[in-house]
Amino acid sequence: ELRTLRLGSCVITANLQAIRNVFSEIRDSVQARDENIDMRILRNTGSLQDTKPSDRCCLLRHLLRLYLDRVFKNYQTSDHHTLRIISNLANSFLTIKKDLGICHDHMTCHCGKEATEKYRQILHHFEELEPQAAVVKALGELNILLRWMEEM
Amino acid sequence: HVTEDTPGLLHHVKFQSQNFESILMWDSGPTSPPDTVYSVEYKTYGQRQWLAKAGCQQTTRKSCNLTMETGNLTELYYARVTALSPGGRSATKMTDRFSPLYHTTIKPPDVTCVPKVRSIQMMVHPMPTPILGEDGHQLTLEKIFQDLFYRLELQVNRTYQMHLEGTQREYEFVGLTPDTEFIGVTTISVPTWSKESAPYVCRVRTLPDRTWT
Repeated sequence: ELRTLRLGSCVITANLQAIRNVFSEIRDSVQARDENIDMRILRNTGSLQDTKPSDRCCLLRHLLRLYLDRVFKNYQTSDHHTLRIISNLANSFLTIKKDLGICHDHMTCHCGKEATEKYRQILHHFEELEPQAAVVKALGELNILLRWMEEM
Repeated sequence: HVTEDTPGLLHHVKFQSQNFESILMWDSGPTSPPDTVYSVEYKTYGQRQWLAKAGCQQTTRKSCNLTMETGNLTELYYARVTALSPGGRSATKMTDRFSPLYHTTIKPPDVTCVPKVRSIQMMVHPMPTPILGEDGHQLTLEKIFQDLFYRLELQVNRTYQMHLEGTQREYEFVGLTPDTEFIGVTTISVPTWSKESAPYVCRVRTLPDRTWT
């Protein structure tokens, strides 16, 4: 079931329910590997829904790139099922990112100060951690990102 | 998750949640003496502090209501139980990360089935949750889950059913035979979260047609 995401002037559709169902297959096992439960990368203060509409597309685009370039690629596991699920998630994110790219081409994916600052903070939280710990935590927080997108 | 464990004192520490009524439950282990006591703590994911749950300290019960403590839907939570046996042995176990939105299941709806001569009305009653909105009022399931809808089925006979669905609360199956028994089945569905309630079932008989008597 496709969901419409309204990101300011950029409007796209995505099957968030399917992505959530795929992620639920590895959710508990990935989160169980996250030992830093005193800390959170995707915090309510930096959420998409609390970002002004015109900056949402840019912030989401940055987040998808973070997941594609630094999370999905670097998650270390010998479990083939998990790797297949991650590949599936990456493809879904790639599709969404392509749609955001079209918005960018049509000048409806503007990076204002708010998006830039919020992404900087998220990246700071991510880079505060040891690399693999950051990857594990970010992947475990994918449900937070999905809920942010659902509230667009 | 095991923080410290004397084998066999504590098992299956987990949340069970229905309509956002979230209860922490656990089992004693095979070797735990009957007068083992349990203490519960909880925390918000991303925060440092564990908080003791008043009313669930040094208790012999094996459940603890953490509904109010897990009532912010934008947050995720952990809880942990420490078991202490009379002999001084102890064990602590933690839940998986708990998301009220993801983990809560939906109770069957509360429905009133009203028979008429040639129709049956079905009225779904609102389902308040313990979750408070910004105005301090209890939120209903419909308010929390924007894509929640009702699915109604009227079983006419073994091979024929009638179906209605929607987000409104009142429905009417029409064109029925008077003085006949029907079975009404109502479920709640929340597609975004792939949730579906168990059905509410009512057995109801249409009224006799006294028009010509």
